[in-house]
Amino acid sequence: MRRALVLLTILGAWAALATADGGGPSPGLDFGNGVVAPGGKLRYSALSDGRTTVLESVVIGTGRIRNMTFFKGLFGIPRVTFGGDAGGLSRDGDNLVLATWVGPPSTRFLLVDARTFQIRGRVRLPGRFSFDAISPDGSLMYLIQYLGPPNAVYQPYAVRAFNWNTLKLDPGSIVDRREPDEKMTGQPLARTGSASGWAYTLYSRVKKPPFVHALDTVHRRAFCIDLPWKHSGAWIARVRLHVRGGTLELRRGGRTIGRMDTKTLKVG
Amino acid sequence: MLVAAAVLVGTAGGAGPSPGVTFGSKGVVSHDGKVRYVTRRAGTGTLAEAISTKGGVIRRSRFLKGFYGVPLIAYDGSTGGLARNGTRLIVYSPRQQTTRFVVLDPRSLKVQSRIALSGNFGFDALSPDGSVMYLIQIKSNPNGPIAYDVRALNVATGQLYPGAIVDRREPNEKMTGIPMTRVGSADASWAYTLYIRPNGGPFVHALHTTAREAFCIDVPIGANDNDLSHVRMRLRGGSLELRLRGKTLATIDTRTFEVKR
Repeated sequence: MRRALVLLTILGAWAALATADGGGPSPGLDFGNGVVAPGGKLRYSALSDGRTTVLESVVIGTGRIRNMTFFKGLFGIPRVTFGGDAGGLSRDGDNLVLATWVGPPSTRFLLVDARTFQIRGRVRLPGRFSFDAISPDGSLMYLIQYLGPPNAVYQPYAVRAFNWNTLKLDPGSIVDRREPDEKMTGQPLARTGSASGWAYTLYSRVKKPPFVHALDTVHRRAFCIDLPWKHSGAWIARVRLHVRGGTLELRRGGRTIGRMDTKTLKVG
Repeated sequence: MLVAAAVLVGTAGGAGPSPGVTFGSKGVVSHDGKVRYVTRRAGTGTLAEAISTKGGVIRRSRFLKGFYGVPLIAYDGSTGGLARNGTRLIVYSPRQQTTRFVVLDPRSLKVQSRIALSGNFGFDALSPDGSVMYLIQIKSNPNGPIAYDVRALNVATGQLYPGAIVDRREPNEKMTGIPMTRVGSADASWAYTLYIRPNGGPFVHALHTTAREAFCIDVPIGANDNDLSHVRMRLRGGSLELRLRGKTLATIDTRTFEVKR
């Protein structure tokens, strides 16, 4: 465990550097904070000593452990933003994805029954992937596939869909069909979702406007919506997203600084 | 349900005076209620965790070689091992030959010290500052009920204080019985434990955890063993109340130890 903590400290430091220097788009894995189940009553957390992973569900409000299991290997709860948002849990609360660190040479994912902790599926994908989102019923997992050299910062990436029923990646990538040739770059900073399966992620880019990546996790489509600011300054890291009715609100310090209509994708 | 089963078996067959340890969900909660400490078996060792009760976040974790549980202190599932001032957490491994204790810093879960005692010991209580640990030293008695001594241990040195902690009013009385439930004073300087005996009525063991003194108070409440397993205690003002299903069976004055029914 001590060795793992050292490793995590090192990796944590790497993540912090990456954030400051404009590193790759993967926020990495979470050990300890975990992800909260829909309804807010349970928290799923992973701990690892590097060789074995402990997965636990903890009752929020009492701190009692509801369920626990062990997996061989190092798996964590996937982080989906550098703001600390964790993911991996389907909206129906039935499925939880655990991931290894991004390859090379490969990246592994586990699909776990969130109630029994039985493994429902496992996959090893050649290449470098990180978890991005999961469909409400857990059948589709969205991944970030890194396309640049392994240690490159600000490398291009593609959003890919993985089908847990067939254990295969869908061909091609999930692109904004309005701008199919635009390269995906940027760092995810904040995330929120909707009951209908949309995942909204705020990305920052160097010397470019920040944008919202709107991913429809049910229908495998995505849209990139530029925000009306010239640059992604440091302040953008403090922006949080909220869905209210048909509006995505961008809030900073309790104040709404931008709105996006979730139907028309128009920003006001 | 498990606790109830243990109590029933204990009553009938003479269960040990120490309930042992617990692994898993329950653990022990800090005095302010903000952190729950649990231990889990993990491979060949133990995973100790500090979990935020409000948010369920695992604040700290530590892997310990060997199996160490959070001390159970009564058969109603009461747990202990955490000093009132939050500076020490004791976990231990009960064994017939050697009992091993690990003293952890609750804030970091780092190991402060390890203590190995020759013999069969169970955890009983901790002084408010965690400097003195009280133990049940189980003595083998093949021809009768299990007898035991209450011992005090200096946590800093890992050494037992000489002699047993006895009620000086009855120094020759053998300690027997099994602990059913426990309540402590707000400052943790007193630990009151209700014991039942196979041959004899129930009594409350009042342990002064800073003065290394103890008093045994017979409580003739006339309840059967099954009812006794449901008796709970509470401190109100200067009184210790023994209650069963919402009714007060007896009250003990915590200064004079006078029992009123």
